[in-house]
Amino acid sequence: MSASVAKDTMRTAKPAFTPGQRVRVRQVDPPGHIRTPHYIRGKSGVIERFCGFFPNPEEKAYGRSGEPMRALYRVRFVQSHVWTGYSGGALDTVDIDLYEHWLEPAGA
Amino acid sequence: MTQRSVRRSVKQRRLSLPDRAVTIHASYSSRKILMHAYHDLGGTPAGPIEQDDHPAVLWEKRVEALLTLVRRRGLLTTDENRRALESLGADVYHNLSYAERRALALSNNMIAKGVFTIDELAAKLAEIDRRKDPLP
Repeated sequence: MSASVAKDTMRTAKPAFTPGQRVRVRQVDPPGHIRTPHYIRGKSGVIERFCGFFPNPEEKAYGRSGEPMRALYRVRFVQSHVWTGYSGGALDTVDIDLYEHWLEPAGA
Repeated sequence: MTQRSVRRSVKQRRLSLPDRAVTIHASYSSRKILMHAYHDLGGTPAGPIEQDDHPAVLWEKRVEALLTLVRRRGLLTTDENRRALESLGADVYHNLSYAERRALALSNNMIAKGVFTIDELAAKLAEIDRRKDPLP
């Protein structure tokens, strides 16, 4: 895909998720260069902010352009939901930057 | 994977630890247990953090300088470098030092991209072996 097409995509595309929305990280284990930490897959969190559109590192890792650009979000997770037997504070959270194609809307 | 075996791998990096490639994420709270890649260590029991850091030596600094230069020349992206590090295999990844594995990943990427050939690399390594001071 050419850069101009990607830029057009970026201009017209809107992020699928909005701050405050609950999302779940896809629980999949694909091969290749993956930036989504293993420990957070399958976990639910809340969109903290939309960070912008960025080239997809999973594509860039193989020498490709990374286009089309992907929406990146900062997602906030409650630590006690992430770890079994978490001994820290009940309000402790962890923020992780995740690309849109790794997220799906979380049920109630 | 026990805490003791992780500590051992830190203290004695030269030990072969092939089992790390298929470590099961024991603390994963989901009922479904997934395998995780050998470099993706978040949440893995690790024991106390080793604090006795050492300042980077000359050749280690040169590895980082080279990585910066090839990125600036457009010969390599950070993601390609990371993919190469994650493609070394668990044994190599855990038995080499930080700078050693980065030098190897860079070298693999440059060969894959045709920046230099395996023969050229071998010839250079042989030349370095013949030097009195390998790092002038």
